[in-house]
Amino acid sequence: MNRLFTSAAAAGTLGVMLLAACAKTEPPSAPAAPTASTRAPAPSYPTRVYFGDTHLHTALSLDAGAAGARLQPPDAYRFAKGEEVTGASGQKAKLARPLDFLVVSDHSDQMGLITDLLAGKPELLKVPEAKHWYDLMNSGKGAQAMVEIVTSFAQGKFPKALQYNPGTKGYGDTWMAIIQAAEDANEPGKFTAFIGYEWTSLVTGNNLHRNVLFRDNGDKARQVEPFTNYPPGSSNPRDLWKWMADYESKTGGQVLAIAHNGNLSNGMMFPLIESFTGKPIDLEYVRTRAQRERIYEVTQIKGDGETDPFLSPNDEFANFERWDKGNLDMTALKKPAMLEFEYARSALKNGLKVESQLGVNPYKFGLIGSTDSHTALSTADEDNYWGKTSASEPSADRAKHPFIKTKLGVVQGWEQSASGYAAVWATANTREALFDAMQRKEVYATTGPRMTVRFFGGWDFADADTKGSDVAATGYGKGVPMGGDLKAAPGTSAPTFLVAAMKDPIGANLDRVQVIKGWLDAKGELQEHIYDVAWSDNRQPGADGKLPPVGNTVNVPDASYTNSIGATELVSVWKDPQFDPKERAFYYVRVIEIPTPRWTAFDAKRFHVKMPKEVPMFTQERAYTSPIWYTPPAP
Amino acid sequence: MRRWLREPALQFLLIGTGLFLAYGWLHGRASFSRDTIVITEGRIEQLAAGFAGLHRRPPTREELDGMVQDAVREEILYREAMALHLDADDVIVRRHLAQKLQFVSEDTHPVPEPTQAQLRDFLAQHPQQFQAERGYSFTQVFLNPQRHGSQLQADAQRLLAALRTAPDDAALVKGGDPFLLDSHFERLPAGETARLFGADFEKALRTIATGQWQGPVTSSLGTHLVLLRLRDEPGPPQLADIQAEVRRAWMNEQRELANARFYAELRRRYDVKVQLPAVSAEPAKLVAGSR
Repeated sequence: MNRLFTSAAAAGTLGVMLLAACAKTEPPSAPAAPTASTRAPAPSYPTRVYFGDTHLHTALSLDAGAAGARLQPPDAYRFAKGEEVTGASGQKAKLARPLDFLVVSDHSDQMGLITDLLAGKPELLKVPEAKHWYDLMNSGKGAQAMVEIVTSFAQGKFPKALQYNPGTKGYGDTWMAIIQAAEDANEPGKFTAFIGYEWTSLVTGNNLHRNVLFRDNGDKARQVEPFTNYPPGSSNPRDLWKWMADYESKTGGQVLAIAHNGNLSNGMMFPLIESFTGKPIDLEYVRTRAQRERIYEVTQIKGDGETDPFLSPNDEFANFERWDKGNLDMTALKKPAMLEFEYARSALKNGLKVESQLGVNPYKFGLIGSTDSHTALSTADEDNYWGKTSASEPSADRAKHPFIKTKLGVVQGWEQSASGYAAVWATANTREALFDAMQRKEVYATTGPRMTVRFFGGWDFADADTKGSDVAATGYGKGVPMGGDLKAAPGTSAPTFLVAAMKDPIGANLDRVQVIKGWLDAKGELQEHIYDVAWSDNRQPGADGKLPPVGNTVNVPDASYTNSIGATELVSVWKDPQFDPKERAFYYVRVIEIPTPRWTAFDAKRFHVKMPKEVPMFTQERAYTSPIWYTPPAP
Repeated sequence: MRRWLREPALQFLLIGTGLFLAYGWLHGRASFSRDTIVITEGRIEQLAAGFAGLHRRPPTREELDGMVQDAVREEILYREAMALHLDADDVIVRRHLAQKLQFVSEDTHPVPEPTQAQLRDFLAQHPQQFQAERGYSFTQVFLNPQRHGSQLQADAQRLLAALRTAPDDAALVKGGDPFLLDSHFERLPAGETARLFGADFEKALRTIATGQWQGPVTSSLGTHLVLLRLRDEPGPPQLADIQAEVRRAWMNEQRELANARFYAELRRRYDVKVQLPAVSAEPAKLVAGSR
């Protein structure tokens, strides 16, 4: 299926032949797809992909501030725009390339408390726990303070007298400051600063967090205060959805919620049985979830959430940046039976089954990546990685410091993943256009590199479509983009997909492009299969159907690689060989880069340190697109 | 709070003589004098206001008493700590005080609002700082080197010739290989051009001729033929358009200048001797060669 031209002779005349072909096959009454013209009006579909982060904490977040973060939302936006700032460790930080958008999503619970605690507000220091944490922070033990605070919070033991919650002055002032920072940083057309926050639902340490993102400006956002986990808030997502509905009816605005780190939810992120009631999810749950949570953050510093080797034993790329030893605070270990309800791929599959029973798919979500960095520094580049918390900003031994350690287990510093970003196909770089693109799921996740990925589904894509210069015009003209639904089949033939990926302009070449299909078969069993659809270097699949590895040019001591292998661009049309029009299915694309040095290799070189044997020193970065779904017509 | 414990000088003090001995030595039993602490009405009002701000109600009598006793306690401990010079070796205290002095100097010498003339002069002296970015309006056709192999140059030349002689380039931009970015760009800022196509491509656009198909131009994605329609060199910045930005920069510079003057004045009062340890040239070289 490799679409790379191998014959020099054929390729030699390509340019001119295409010129002629175009002139002949493009009658004036050509399809809906706009023809390219040097003065053509802007197409109605997106032609630019915007990269950003929907999940970033500053010193205003309780845990971030406790761990030593001192930068605030205005600094976070400045950094995202490409300016240099000084991190908590005193080192100067700057992105190699600015981001196009950023959401500062500080934890709503106790928002701003830590900055007041740090200032030593006497009222706060009267509370013994607060005094203890204050002393820890002032003696340079911010990381320990953070773990204690998170644990206390997660276990529901956080002192009542310390609450910064809706209705208190400290909370209200903090929210106004967050909104103001976003308003000041927002430059429509150039850089989008979203207003947002993180709803930090923890049920005995199990992560059910959601980031809430506003489409609106400050005038609407100021009319409410963020929802919390602690009373008057709730840890039940249904209550968050109600808060969202209330906001929308009160202001006429719009908000969306993005869940993340199912891998730390110990089986609670994508339930079939609701943990809050012990009953199967009902129609109201599935309807509301499908409406409120249309995208999912599938990759970030605390691990990759696409799938797990236990769930996908035949997927050779499944064991990627895995963080699945326990729940968020490591107070309960993982059991294999939990995994099915934690990972994106299995949730997408279970969603098909629920849809077949209730008529609505609760887990029909698109995919994005983000960092969840707690330093106000949104970094996902391996060679410029600033860590999860201020304690893990660059230093000689950050890889060897445990990130979290309890009686039950330990996650080491090196297990942090320098990931990821959200890629959004939007018609403009504005709050409205980006938000709307997220709602229609025309988005994909990357683990850091800014590769460009297109994915269209339709019924009549053909090999010739891989040769036209304007992939977008063809794709939108004949199909639906990522995040969409295949229109009803015109006959009994299988759906076709136009898949295209281009490397990050300053990054590594591509190894391969895969389509991952999940479906509910005639027996009611859920299935998945991975198809390699385009790859580099003219490799031939082996007898077992497996494509040989692309190779590895990584020089670990030098933390370098070369683009002597891999492809700059891969384009293919793929037709589902196992299609049954009676079976529900989804398809998404996974793009794999050639191996490149992991952040641990850059650290080893930069700080002249030797990493422990078990530390991975290279990685294969990737992108995951939102799926395209197929739903059989009602019988 | 425990950082001072890690300071070597204090550790010596503690281990060697013990805090109480030190105390006795400094004050002497006989000369133990009685100091006075006055908690003023203003201070009490301040405490009450702080409480009200946090709890949204005034403190009760008991709560206020508690706060006053805390304030007294803090004051006593503070004075005794100062008497023991506990501040002297504390990095945090030193930094904090140094910063405080800086703030005090800034507060006592506020930067005045600039006049229009001052802003005009400032802009004239720093034109680069306010120069709007160059923009490019262009159409590009992409050739993927991996599809063309050794024929790349020949194919590019052939296509270039076709593009140059074509009556209308509208349909011709389709002559290239599949490309996932746009073909047409209007006033794309230089920085974004570099982000999308790589720095070399942007560099090439700075000099190639406009109005006619040019190339091949190499980007980090492959090879391109480019019709640069407009290289938008923004004129010198006009104060009216960027008044607020220039004001901010001017104020910032004035503040920095004032701080520098303030420090220079202080610095003049001191003789400073720096006693550098003898260093051989070898390790220094090593440091320079690494990161």
